[in-house]
Formats: sequence, C-alpha cells, structure tokens
Amino acid sequence: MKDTCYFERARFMLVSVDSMESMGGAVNTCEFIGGRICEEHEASAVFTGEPSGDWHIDLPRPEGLPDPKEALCVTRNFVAGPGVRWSLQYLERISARLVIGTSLSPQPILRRVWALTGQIYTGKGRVVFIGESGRGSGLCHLRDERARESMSKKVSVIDGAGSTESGMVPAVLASPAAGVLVHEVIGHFAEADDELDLSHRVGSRIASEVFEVWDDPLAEGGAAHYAVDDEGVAALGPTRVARQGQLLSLLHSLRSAARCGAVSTANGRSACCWDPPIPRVSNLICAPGQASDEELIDKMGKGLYIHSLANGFSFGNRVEAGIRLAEMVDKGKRTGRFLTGGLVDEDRFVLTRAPEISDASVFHQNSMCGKAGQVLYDVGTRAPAILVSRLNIRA
Amino acid sequence: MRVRVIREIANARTVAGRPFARTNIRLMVSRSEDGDLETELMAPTCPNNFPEQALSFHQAMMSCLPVTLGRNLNVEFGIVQTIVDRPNCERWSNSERYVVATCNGMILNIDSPDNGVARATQWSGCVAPTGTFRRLPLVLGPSAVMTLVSCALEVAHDQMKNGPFRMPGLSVFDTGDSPYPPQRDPFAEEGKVVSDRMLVHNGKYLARTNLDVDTVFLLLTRPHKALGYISVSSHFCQRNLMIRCVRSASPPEAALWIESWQVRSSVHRGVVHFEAVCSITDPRRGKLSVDSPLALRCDLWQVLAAVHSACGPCAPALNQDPIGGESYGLAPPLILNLTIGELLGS
Repeated sequence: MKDTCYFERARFMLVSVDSMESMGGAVNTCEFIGGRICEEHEASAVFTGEPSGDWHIDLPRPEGLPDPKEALCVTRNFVAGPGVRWSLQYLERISARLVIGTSLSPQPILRRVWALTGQIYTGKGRVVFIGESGRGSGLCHLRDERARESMSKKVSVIDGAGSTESGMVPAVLASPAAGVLVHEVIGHFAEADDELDLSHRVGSRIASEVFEVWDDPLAEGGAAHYAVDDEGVAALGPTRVARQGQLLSLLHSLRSAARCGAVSTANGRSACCWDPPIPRVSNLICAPGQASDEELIDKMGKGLYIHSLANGFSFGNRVEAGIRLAEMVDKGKRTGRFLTGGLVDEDRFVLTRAPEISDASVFHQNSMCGKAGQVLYDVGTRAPAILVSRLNIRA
Repeated sequence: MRVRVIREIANARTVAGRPFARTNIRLMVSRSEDGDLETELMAPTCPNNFPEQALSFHQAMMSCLPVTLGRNLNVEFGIVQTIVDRPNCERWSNSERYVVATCNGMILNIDSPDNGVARATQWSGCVAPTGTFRRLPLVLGPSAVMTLVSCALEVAHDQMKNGPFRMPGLSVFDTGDSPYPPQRDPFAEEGKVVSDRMLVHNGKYLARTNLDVDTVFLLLTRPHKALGYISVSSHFCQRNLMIRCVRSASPPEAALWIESWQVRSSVHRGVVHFEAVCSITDPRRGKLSVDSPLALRCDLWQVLAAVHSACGPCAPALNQDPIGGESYGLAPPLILNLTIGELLGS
C-alpha cells in the first residue's frame, strides 16, 4: 500500500488591534506541529504532534517570526488613521512542510506569509473591508508611511463617494480591480478539478484575443513563490494558460492530472497540511498590451473607471465582485466623482468583451483566495488595466 | 497566572460512503492575565478506534433512508476530552462520546452513542421536482433557518449602524453551547458562566457591540479553521447560534420544505444565490425527498420578513459556510408567507 504523508511545523501570530479599545490590542501565538496521512484507497488521518519515530523525520522549527510585541506596536501605529474605527488583524505565519510518497528525495517546503484583514468604519457609516496579504513579512509594509497614507486616503474617498447605480456600462478596470476579475474569470476556470475531468474546457474562449496568460509559481514579485508545490511536485516553469484568449491548458494537482490523463503542473496547493492539496493558481500573469490607462479611458469616452474591487466570487458561470471604489468618466476624462457599493454581476464571458488592455501589468497586495474553504494568502495576480465594452453593475 | 485548556478530539467520519477520514488532535491553549494567548499542538493520547462504530452506524442509517439521500450520508463518531487548569483551582475534566449523522446539510441524528442506533428517518421516498411545487406553502427546515440567519447576521455585522435589519418574530442568541460536542465552549461545560449574548431581540437586530473574534473559543471549538485561516475574522465574530421564534403554528399538511441551502455567492449585498435541498410533505405519502437541488436567488431580508411562525420545536441545525466551515446550533422550522414560486419570481 502506498501512503502519502504531509507533515508541517509552523509558527504563527495574530495581532488584533482596535482603535476604539484603549487596551492596545492582543497577541495570539501558536506552535503548530501535525500532519495528514492519505492512504492509497483514499482514507485519511489528521493528527497533531511529532510524526511517529518510525518515520525518522526531523522537520526544522521555522525561525524568523518577528517579536510579537514589536508586531503589536507596528500594527497599532498603522491603525492611527482617519475614520471612526479601525479594527484590524495582522497575521504572520512561517511553516516548513514535508511531503513523503510523491518524490524520491523529499525536501522541506518553506513558506512565510502575512495578511492584514479587518474593517474600517467611516464617519458616514460605511464599512471598508481590508484584505491585503502576501509573501514574507508584512511588517515592512505596515511600517511604510505611504501605505498607511494610501489606505487613509482611500477610506476618506470612499466615505465621501456616492452610490453606484444598476446598469450595463462601459468600464475601465484599473490594474488592482482587473486582477480580481482575471483571477475569478480566468484563474478559477483554468483550475482543474479533483473529481471531474474538465479537459473539454481546453480550447474554449475565456477572453478576447488580447489576453495572453501564464501561471508561474516563481514569477518575480509574485505573492506565491515555490519551486515545489504542496504535493512535493517540482515546478518545471510557467504554464501557459491562455493564448489569444483561448484556454490552452488546465492547472493540475496530482489527483486532477491523473483523472484527465495529464501531468501535474505543480499547482497542488493547500492552506495547511490538514487540507488536501487541490488545483490552485500560483501567480497568474496577464501580459500587458499597448495603451496607457489614460488612452483606455479616452477610448471609452463615458463610463466607469473602477479603482478597486473586493470579495470576488465565482460559481459555475457566474462571477461577481463588490465595487469598493469607482470613478465616473466623461468625455474621456476622469471626473473626480467617486462611487462605491454595488457589485460587478457578470458571467464568465465578461472578458470576451474586453477589446484592449493597458501597457502596465503589475502585482498588487490582494493575494487572498478562499477556494473550497482553504484560505491561501499568497495567490498572486499580475494584470493590466482592462477596457470592458459593457459591464453589468448591480447596485 | 495562566488559565490553561487542553482539548483532545478523536473521531472517524464516513463521507458519502468513502473511506474514513480520521482525526486525532490535541491542543493546549494558555491565556495570560493580559489576554495574550499561546497555543501548542501535542501528540494525542486517545486511541481512535471509531471507524468500525461509524461504519455500523452508517449502515444502520442507510437502511432507513431513500437511496438518493443515502448516497450523501455522512456519519461521524468520536470523543471530545477537555481539561481546564485554573490558578488555585482543582483541575476540571470532561469526556463525551458522540455520533452525528448528516446528509445534504441536514442533521439526521446527533446524540450520545449510548442512546442506541439511529432513529427512523422521516422520508418515505423521493420525487422529481414539478411545477406544482411552486404553489405549495414554504417551510424552512432548521438547517435552512440557521444558514439564512447566519447570512443575515454576516450582512448586519458588516454595517456600522443598525440599519433596517429586521427578522420579525425571531430572537437570536450567540451562545457557547452547541448540540455538537466538539463545538461546545469548554468554559461553559466547566460550569463557569459564559453568558449568552442576544444578537436579535424579537426581530430587532442589536448592534455588533463587543462582537469580536473570541480566539480562545475559535481555537478550542474549530481548531482546523482557527489554525489555518484565523485572520479571516469577519466569519468568526460570533460563537454558536440559537434561534427562537415567538409565534408557533402546526406544520401545513402539504408543503415544500427547504431542508438546507448552500450559499453560492457572496452575501454582502443581502441578495444571495442558494442551492437548496428540498422535500415535500404530502398528506397521503408522507415526506418525500426532492431528488435534485433547486437554484434560488433571493433577498435575505425579504425571506426573513415573510416568516409566519415556527412549526416545530428547536432542533439541531447545521450551517455550512463556504469559508467558516460547519457550525452547529439550534433553530426551529419556520413557515413562510411565501411560496417557492413567489421566491423564484422575485
């Protein structure tokens, strides 16, 4: 019988800070050691504690977690911005994993991720959801005065913004907003399934001809960064996901690949060793186009410039994302009249109505994805701004 | 001086007839006087000899379920052990065995295994969905009520002001108690008062005051989620839910029951896509399981405004949140002043 064993030793801390509380916040630290054994006939066992001595496994204790008191201090300084109440949590997690049973020479897989989540409540009673995350430590981001100012400014603008109205409108999605839509529309559609053979999707149109898309776990600047995925499969290089808007290949875990008669693309990822690895995007890279953001706005003439989307969700053919901040465009110029609220409520063909993309494709710090209840903090998307001829907005 | 809690969970779960998923976890949470927490995971001490018991329970349940439901039957058989050490106090410990049977998001059985094998289930067979369903009175089963109220609370908690959040006739409590032993607050079990908090009083939503992430509760009752995704706090700002309805009536003889529904969209706007598992009751044939799920899109507040009355006592209920996972609570079945036709047409 062939078993696959996943072991993990991790340390993490969660700092919770609320600007309304005088206590100054709380720190939660955790030492995690445990694993999961998956037997060939699919029975599984989840456990805590050191692996049995029979395995002769010595997983290194991950080092380098910042001093919790320092993290508390940095997070507390970060929340000192405008708005009625900032309620934020800072998470940092470092881990070493080992997978036995899928490769000849298993090596520890090291990972370090951070996340800043929570809500900021504005003076007019609006709630701004915060969800930033990425690779490494996020404390340098929190220490950066520009990051705090940028968030404060965004909160002020959202506080003063009007409300979106329902309708089908032309739109330019700024790069951060485009990243959300590209992740939901292209990323999730390209992910294979452990239970179903989805190979019939290959060749289908998922976007207009201007889209060239790769998945690359080693992309420079990407939130994900691994040479070996959570199943112990080595990444051989970028996987070309879409060519001229057509799906070229699916992203596979070992199990989904076996189901389709394919090979793993090193996209088997899991949130914790207790969760089964499933096909997940690593870093989705969308190649840039030719035009600048301003040229896209000028071509659109009248419509919406969507700065920021949040809470992306896709199920079946439906795709949606909350509009955090948009700006009205008239006569090819941004007007400074901001809107917030409502949803982009679309089907998965929305990017087939995208005739042009901008010349700057960049990563942003919105790297959180909760597919199948497994929250990953390091799912990167590098996308340019996208002109969409018609976008369905639901207020 | 620290309060220290050790919790150990050992169980075996059959999932839709697949081989067993076994869990053996032991964790220790220490809380210092200033509120900081330390969590440590340790080697379990309790042997997991539950697969055979889970299997025999599974077989007993299968024999009294329609085939289409039996395919999705899950049985979990296990034990929860808790030790609480407080400064200057005697050690408190507790051990409880349990068995849970669920199917398509419904709880069929949740009890101590000492109380015998599965009780007879309610369904006499299956039926395909037809147009006549659209005119039947609509009843929400306990799990559907739990999911509906959980989604509504998620929307309400995310607003700063109370807003027009009404749940006429309902009262909702945040409680440490749970029908599912692994999700019971160990401090409440110990007898130390952990008060219930009222979230909705006779239909009126009370503000999210002091509703913050209770990390100790989360770690001890949902260790898998807590250790993996603890920073996704908006899903964990409350404990377990207990829902009551002030009005009661007899269940309609013929009705369409939404037994459970799975959320298939974000809930932030209050308009939610659900995939609903349904049954119909028929005076002649009893309760029949509808053999395919129904896709619904509805406004949470419209459904809540249509609550007529409870048509049965509070019963164990299950909410399966896409991120937060399984949460168990108590809720009554509710009759709505709506038909499924009106819901689909809205």
